[in-house]
Amino acid sequence: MSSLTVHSLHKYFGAFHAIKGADLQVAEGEFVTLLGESGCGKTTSLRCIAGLEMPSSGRIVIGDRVVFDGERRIEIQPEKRETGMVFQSYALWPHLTVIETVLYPLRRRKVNSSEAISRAREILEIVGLEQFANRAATSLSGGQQQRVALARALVIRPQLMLYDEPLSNLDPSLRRQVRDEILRLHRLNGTTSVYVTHDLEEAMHLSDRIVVMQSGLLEQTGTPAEIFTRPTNEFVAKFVGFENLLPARVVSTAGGDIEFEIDATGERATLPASASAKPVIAGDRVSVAFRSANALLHGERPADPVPGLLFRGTINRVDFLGSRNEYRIVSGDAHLRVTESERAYRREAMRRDAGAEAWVEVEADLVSIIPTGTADVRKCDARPVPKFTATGAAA
Amino acid sequence: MTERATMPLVGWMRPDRLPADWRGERLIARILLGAAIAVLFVLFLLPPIMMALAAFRVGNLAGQGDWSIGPFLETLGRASTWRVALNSIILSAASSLGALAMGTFLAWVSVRTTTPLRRLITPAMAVILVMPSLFYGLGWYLVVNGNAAPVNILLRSLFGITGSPLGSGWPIMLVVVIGYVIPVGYLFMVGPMARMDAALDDAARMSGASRTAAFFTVTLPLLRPTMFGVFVLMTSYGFSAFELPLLFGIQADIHVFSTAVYTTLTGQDAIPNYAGASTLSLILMALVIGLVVVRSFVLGSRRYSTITGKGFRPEPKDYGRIQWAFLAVFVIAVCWAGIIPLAQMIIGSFQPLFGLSLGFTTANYEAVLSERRTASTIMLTLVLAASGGFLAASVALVMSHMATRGGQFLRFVAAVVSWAPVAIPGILLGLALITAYLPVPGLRSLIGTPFMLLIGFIVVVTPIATRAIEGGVLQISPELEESARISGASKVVTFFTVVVPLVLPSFLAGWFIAGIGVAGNLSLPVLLSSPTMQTVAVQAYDAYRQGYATQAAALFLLLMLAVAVVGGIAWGLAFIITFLVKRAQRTRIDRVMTSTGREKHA
Amino acid sequence: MLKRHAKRLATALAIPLALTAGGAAALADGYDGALGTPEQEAKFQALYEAALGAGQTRVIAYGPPPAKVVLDTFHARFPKIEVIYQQLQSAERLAKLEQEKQTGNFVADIASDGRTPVVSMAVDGWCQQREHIMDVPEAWSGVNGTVQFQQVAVFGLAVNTNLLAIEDAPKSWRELTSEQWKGKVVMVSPAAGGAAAYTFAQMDHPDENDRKYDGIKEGIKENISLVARDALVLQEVAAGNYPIGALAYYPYFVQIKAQGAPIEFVFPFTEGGGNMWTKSAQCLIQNAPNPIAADLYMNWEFSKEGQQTLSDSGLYPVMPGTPGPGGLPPLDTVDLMEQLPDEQAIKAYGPYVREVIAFFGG
Repeated sequence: MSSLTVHSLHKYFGAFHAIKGADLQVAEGEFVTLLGESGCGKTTSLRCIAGLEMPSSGRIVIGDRVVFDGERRIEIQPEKRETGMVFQSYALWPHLTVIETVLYPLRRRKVNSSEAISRAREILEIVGLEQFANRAATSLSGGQQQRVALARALVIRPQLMLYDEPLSNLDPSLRRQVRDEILRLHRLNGTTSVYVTHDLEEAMHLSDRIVVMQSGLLEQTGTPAEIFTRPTNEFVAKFVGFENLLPARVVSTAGGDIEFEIDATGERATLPASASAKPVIAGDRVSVAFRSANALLHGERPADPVPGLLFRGTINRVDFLGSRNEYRIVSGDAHLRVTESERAYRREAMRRDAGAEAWVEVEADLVSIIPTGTADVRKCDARPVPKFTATGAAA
Repeated sequence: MTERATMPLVGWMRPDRLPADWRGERLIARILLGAAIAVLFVLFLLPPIMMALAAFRVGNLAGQGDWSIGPFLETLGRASTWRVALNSIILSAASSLGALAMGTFLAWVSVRTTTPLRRLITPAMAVILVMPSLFYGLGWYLVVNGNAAPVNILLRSLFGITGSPLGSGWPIMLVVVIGYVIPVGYLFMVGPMARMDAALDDAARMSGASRTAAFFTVTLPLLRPTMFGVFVLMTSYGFSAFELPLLFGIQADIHVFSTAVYTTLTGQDAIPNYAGASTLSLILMALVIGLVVVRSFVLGSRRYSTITGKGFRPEPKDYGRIQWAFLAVFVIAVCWAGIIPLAQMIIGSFQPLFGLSLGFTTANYEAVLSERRTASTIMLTLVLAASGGFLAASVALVMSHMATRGGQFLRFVAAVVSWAPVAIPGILLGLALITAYLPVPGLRSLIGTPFMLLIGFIVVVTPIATRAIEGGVLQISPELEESARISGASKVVTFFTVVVPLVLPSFLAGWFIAGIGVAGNLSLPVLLSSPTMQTVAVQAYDAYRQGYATQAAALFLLLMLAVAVVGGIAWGLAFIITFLVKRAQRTRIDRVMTSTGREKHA
Repeated sequence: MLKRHAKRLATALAIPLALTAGGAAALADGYDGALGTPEQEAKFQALYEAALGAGQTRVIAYGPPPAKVVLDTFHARFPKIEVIYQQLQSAERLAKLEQEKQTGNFVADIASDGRTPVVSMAVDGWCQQREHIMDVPEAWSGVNGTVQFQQVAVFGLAVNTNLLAIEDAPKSWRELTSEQWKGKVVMVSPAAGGAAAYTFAQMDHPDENDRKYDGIKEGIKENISLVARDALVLQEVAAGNYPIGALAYYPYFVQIKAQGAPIEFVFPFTEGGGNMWTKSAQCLIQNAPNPIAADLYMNWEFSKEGQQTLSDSGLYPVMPGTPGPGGLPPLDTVDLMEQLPDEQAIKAYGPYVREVIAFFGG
């Protein structure tokens, strides 16, 4: 088991700057997920760590061994990095059986034959495939194939496990199953792991820590809860499901509270300083963010509003989505999205038509304040200008 | 650290020193690669360049002597030059298309259906391929020419038509040439075809395509890289075809390019007209370059990996009763490409005069066997064909792999190396090599030795082997190699444990076809080796030119017998050894597994 | 073929016999007049001994080989020397010789081919001067004694006697162009070059031929069916597909006739200007590694035995008084078609040959 340090990693493909200076620290036994949309550089980062791509510059250390250093001209070949990797496409060899596939890494490491076989058998038992040992690996079902790939990666007890979207080729029911399997194996072996996915739920479920990536930059690092509740920028906020992002200006930060004015409605509100992942000062531009599901919808002004946000608006559109109703509400210049669970909408159905007046209430705990800079007013849906600094867990 | 921090945040620049790609181990690898590329260029690219330059020089050797543009202009100014070039283009393109279509279909029948006897297709095609074009042509010639020809007897009795109406002309020429290259098309296509996931077909079927449509819209397009390569190769070789167009075209006044090259070179001049012959070869060169450019344009940078490492099921499917029709096609193809001419050849080898019913004799075999060099000639041919074919296939495999995994530059190098020798007309091939290698110090001293012959064969047949193998390499998805690297295999080990096994069917096909190319080559042994080290093809062709066609047939049949025997033994041995090794491995695995299982239970 | 077969068997027997009897004994006894006069035989013997003494047991000739019977007979006569032919066309031969010259690794002893390529080589200084053991007439050696013409090949008309009585066969090219023979004649295509193209080139040049053969080429083209190879002409006639084969190569005719095919040869086949013929030529190459052995072989070809063997293979021996092959009259009594002198011919015929090839569509 080893820690992983990635320092100032850059990767160019020709003129294309795929990774723009990534810093990442993964502790021993930690399970870290690189989360982001396709093309954000997360897979490239993983391949650099594995040694399948050569970074343009930077440094990668696995345990206490430098496996890549652009300045010192160190480059350890992938086969010498003692990592295990699970590929999106399984990458099983069609000419080998299950047991041969699992034996392959052991044979390459010159493990004594009978020991190798018993280790292979053991790992196949663990992933529950021992009865398929002599079948062609590629003749199994998708979930079984990916478990063979897991077994192949784990059998050498790697210093570091790398997962490249291992579930995205599986159908949803299997996905859950293999995900549990990955988690179980991780808990069993405690291998330091880096996992790449674009699926939020996967990342939440599996990770000790999540790194959100966008356009070659690490946007935010944190525990699943931190990422989920306190995104530090608008991109992460949107990615983790904050549908409502309202530009606002901090008016004051007195007494552990943040008072701000929402541009679209001109109203002021106050939230505890803990609502922001980063400290803000008066005059800062921020986004006030909350999830549509966390807002409560009222037909009239609530008699006793909880501390937090309260909007008065008109229902613009109602979309029935089965398990929930989704509303578009116009409040001032703001367009809010609110969803209401089946339980709630059934009770209140009568008063929820387009054109009706509505009050939207959001509890203070469920609102995040996201600093967007100190510059001038931007449009509601404007993306933050990418900042070319590496943010992350690096000390 | 601080230095980095003071760098402008947006404008982080790549270090302007030696880029990372050019340092340390990679630098050494690059130097080695550079040396290898230099050697490849000398071996493969120099001959066509010399041939091209020779178009403008008049001297004792191609590419030497005084500069002159006269022969170039004179040759291109002749109307016949363009007429024969056009004839050759039509003949070679049409026959390549026909043979490729037939060969691809048979390959599909062989590996994707459950047609009866499908397992016989590959051995049958392999055996047919060994037949030399000379006897293939003579065999067909006797079937369609003369009063005693079966076709003419049939025509006479059915329609009262006399003479040999089908004896020559475009139709018979195409039929015969297509038949000759069907086995080539088949053997090129069967490897890649065997390596396709049945799910791809199924997906097409589920998307609403009929069986036929699935074949044409999914199976064939996926095989495009191989098909294009083989088409270009066949077309350019068809362009140099000599014997068949001569036999079936001359009576109908159809003249082709290769005859023009031959007559230009050997015309009754004091000095061989190298310049004229080379000028003609420029036409072939232009054609090859054009086709290769079109090919890379059409294929683009799309990916054709069909072996992706998941859900790989190449199993054949049962297509029902129509498979009997497939079997019929197979039988027809075998008769067409093999049995009819082969039967004539066997009969001829027992006749005192080829194709004349004057009784039967074993004198031809006695004559051949009493010749003191026959056994050693056959041995030498087998050894050269096996080793030359193997080396060429290996070069082709390594180059295809480098081209697939490497960048644009390596792709370019591989393309040039694997196409350059094709641009030289067959008749000029030996001359091109000898004139190109003569000034090269190391190679010069090898000329006349078997090594030079081997090198020459490798150069000449590598394009053939490459066409057979590159498609197979393209089919392997890169993750399969990456996962091996991660599993602890070095590049070299990955190559041998993952790439080679996966590409093996194509590799074996490439080896075999290249080996046949070696055995059938006429111009290299006479020029690059010593007079006492000749191959069966050269010997047989000499005998034929002296009027001993029957002995030539006997000699070739002995060679085919030897190939069949040696090939059969080798195949059998390989089969048994792999079987034993696999079984030993399995038992060991099983033993350990059950014993650890018992321990667990205990 | 049976005859040849018997001969080969005899040879096969003769070699071990000669060996067991001891080469020395054979040498001591001389050749019993098989080669020539006793003085000439002594010279042969001296040459043989000299070759063996110099370790020259192999002769390499670049060019189309003669019939096997020729080599077999030579090998039986001089058992310790082996002659190996390598079939090379003129461009290939020159390339190979040039390569040998440039690398200094000499292999070839003899260049053997038709007149044009060998004489061209001699003119370019590739060949060595030699002395003949036999009394070879001036006409059969050339370019200052560097080239020898040991045999001639003739072409005539082959007739299938089942289809056409030999007396009804045409006797001249002019007759052959008549309407009567349209579609009944088969000939090798001059479009593929070779002797056929050369024949028609000769009909155009020198000028006296041109007058005699005026219009023949055009008339022939109207009347004949063309095939790809010399051997096919005789095969077509023997098989009865055509009654007449024009420009039939006599050595092939002899071969096929020997197998019992119902064919006859019309000879001479002339147009007042003599019968079509080609000269074969050889020269000893400069720096040949086995010059003595090669000289022996080349001299032997002019010996009585050599000439007779060439005749057996269907070629015309050139030594005065030697009977022609298959009972044809001696060469010096045959009316041969006019040809340009050797050194002139090598340059002069090229353009005409190209013209002929183009005329026949090549």
